[in-house]
Amino acid sequence: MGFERCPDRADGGDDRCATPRTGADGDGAAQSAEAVPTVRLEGITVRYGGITALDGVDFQVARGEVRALLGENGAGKSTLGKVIAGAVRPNAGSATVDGHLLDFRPSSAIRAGVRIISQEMSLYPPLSVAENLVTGGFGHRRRLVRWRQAQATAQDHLDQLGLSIDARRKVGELSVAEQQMIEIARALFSGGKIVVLDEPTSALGVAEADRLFAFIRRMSRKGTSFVLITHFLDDVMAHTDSATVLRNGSVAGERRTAKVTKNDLVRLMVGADNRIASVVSGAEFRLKPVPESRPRLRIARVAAPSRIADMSLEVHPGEVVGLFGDIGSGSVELAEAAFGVRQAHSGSVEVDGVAVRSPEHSVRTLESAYIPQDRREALAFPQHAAANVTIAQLHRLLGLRLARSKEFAITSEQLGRLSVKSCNPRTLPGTLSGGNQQKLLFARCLVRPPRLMILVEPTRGMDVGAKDDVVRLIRSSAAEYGTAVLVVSAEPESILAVADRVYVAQQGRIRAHLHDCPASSSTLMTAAHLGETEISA
Amino acid sequence: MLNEWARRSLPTLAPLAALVAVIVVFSAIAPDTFPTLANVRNIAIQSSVLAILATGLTLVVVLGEIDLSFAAIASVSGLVASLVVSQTPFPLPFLGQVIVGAGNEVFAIIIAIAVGLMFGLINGLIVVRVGVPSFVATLSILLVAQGLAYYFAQGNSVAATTSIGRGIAQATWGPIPVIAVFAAAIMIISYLVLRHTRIGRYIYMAGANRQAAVLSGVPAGRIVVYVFVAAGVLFAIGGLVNVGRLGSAQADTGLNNLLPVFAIVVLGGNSLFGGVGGIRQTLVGVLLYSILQNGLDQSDLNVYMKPLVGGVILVLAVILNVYTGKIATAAATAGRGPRDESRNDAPKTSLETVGNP
Repeated sequence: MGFERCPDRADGGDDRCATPRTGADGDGAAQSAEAVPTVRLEGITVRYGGITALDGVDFQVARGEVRALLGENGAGKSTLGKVIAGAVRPNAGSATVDGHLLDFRPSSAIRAGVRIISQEMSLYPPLSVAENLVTGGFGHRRRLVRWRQAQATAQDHLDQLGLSIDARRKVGELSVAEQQMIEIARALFSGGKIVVLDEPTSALGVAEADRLFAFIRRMSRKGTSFVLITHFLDDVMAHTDSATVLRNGSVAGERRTAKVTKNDLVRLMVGADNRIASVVSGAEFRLKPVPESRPRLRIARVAAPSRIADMSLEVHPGEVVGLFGDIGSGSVELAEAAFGVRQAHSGSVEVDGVAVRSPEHSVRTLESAYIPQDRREALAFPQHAAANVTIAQLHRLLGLRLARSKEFAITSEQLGRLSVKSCNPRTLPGTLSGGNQQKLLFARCLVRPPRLMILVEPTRGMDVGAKDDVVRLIRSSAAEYGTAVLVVSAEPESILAVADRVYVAQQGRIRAHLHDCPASSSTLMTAAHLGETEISA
Repeated sequence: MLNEWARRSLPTLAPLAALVAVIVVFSAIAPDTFPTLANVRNIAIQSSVLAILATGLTLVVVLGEIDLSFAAIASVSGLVASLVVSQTPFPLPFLGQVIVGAGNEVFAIIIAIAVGLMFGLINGLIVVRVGVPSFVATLSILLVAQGLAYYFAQGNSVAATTSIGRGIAQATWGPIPVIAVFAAAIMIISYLVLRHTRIGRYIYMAGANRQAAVLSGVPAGRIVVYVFVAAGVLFAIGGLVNVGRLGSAQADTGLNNLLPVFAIVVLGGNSLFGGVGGIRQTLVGVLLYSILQNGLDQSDLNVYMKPLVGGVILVLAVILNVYTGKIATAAATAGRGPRDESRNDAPKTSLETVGNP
């Protein structure tokens, strides 16, 4: 269908096409001779089976430009990234790099200088920086690798790029941001001119992300073009030149980021208002007072390895408490301590007055549930959905003998209730989207509504629509079952969208407790940095 | 084109197809001796000890661990039973020569099984408590158990066997060899435990993703110990039956089984990464391997050529496994639309996905 529409695309029959043209023309500075697009894709259409992933998409990146590629999950961002990198061959459309036609094969994309850096790290952590750079394809002209020379060359390149990283260090010892910089450095060493980054900051704290973006900016000034596939609109606003927004496989709009608000971008992405969208646009939320009831989770003056210095917090039945803290603040470690994954060496962690001992004790006796940040830690991919959903409650729901029909009935009911799309009890989790995998984990928790639910970054890396689903799910679990929920996140938006009260953690301590007061994203950021201890009306 | 069901079932069907192919080929090569009832009995008897040992190993492999010590546990258990029943004095460290158990049959068997259980427990505790990778832990225990067997035997062969072991190994019920029924019973019980009980599910989950199992409240550490213990007991039983079949016990009786049992577990389509496969896969592996060996024995091939041909056929079977696993993975992800672009982890195309449940 998209195929037939392509020929008359030129005469602007589709208003989606008109937007990018005006967007680009509107900016005079971009029209210099150098702004001839390095990469230009036209009428890209990709179909998987009966589904159209990309429908006549036009996309371009100029030399030295940092361009964001935005859109909800399924909008086609990653597919477009793969088309640029030659990993996916489109059904229709053409692509040129510096005016040379590409034939959509990885080898020709690499020859043309396109490099894609995907979410999964492709470095070898046990090897040194220099060794990793060498595997990228330089320095070993002959069979023998001259390590000293390779290391000197590597250090030279790093210095030229302004990276103060010792080439002899092991990659595994570097921070995640530094590793990503090394990946980019490697892409550039091997002749990369256009670098596609797929969600580069989803594993980074704020400070680390800023370092990475500063590096990207320096590289772009030297002429490297970047395509940044991301969910983080703040990053887009602060660190990119322009953004292309995809919706349902088509270009919804193309904007210079200097001339657009975050809200505009959200509206382009989803075209609908929801709670996440309003938090993103800076709305204030009224936080609730501390309930009168006995706390369900009570953490008192806990110190634990390796990051918790002294933390206390309480979560009451039926409320959702947010714990806002960057990587390194100790927030994730505190969540682990609350579930018994990590042992405190002083202080107390209690659920309904009973000390937390181990994950097994938490699940079976205290009736707690835990969803870690990395879904891959929590799902058994070779096992079907039903096994993944019922695992935590097998001892209660099914006798010593497993009744498959009963197990499947329980699973189907949960999948239906949480509206997990394209999933039945036999589905393997690996075939589901990230949002649906997350819902599968919620299904596991809610098979038997827990008394305490601990969620680490429950909405991270999701698009705005899926985030909203998860937020509703968390709030309704607390309201319906009286579950006490602790949500840990480093994104202020995710916390505010879901929480009744908020604790702010930094450097192993609780810096602030926000309750019975209005709060916005900036309130949280301020609290984290000012270190007030109590904020209320 | 194959339809989707067929493609997803390929990892199960392919080893079966290989099995059928092997049967057809050997029936054509040796039409007078191969496809006969007597030969079927032969194959059943030949494969029974392998089947018992492979069942024990399967439990461990599904859990994502490995147990190399099975051959030595089988050796030492079978030997100990024979020593006890024959009232042969045997050396115990620090105690000197002792006669254990006054030739009591049941006592001999209990001791033999206790030896298997103890080595299984040691394996499990070293892996869980100390955190030694099971490959290393069980390799060391292989040497310890085998060393113990050499020490007990003092270079002798013990002609006595337990009458129970002999009975299982040599008796028949009408045309049916008891040993085959015995092995089948062990496989069926193991199958039921793995597939239809809670602990079986815990084994699969802990094998597929240990961390996920722990976070779901599964007592993964205990499960690992249980499985090594259960496997140790099965290895001891295998050793007893093996000695019963051979009629005498030597220190290294079990060692010949080391590589065949390994080949069997992998051949049928069990993933060494855990969480995938099971007794069904192992059964196919047992049959494939035993029929192949039996058929080669009956063919006119040069004796020195047979191991080579057997090896080549096994390589082909493993290639077929991996290849069909890839096709099945492609089928499982083909239904996935581009909408799922952010999915976290597609099944990897390797032995890992062979034999998806």
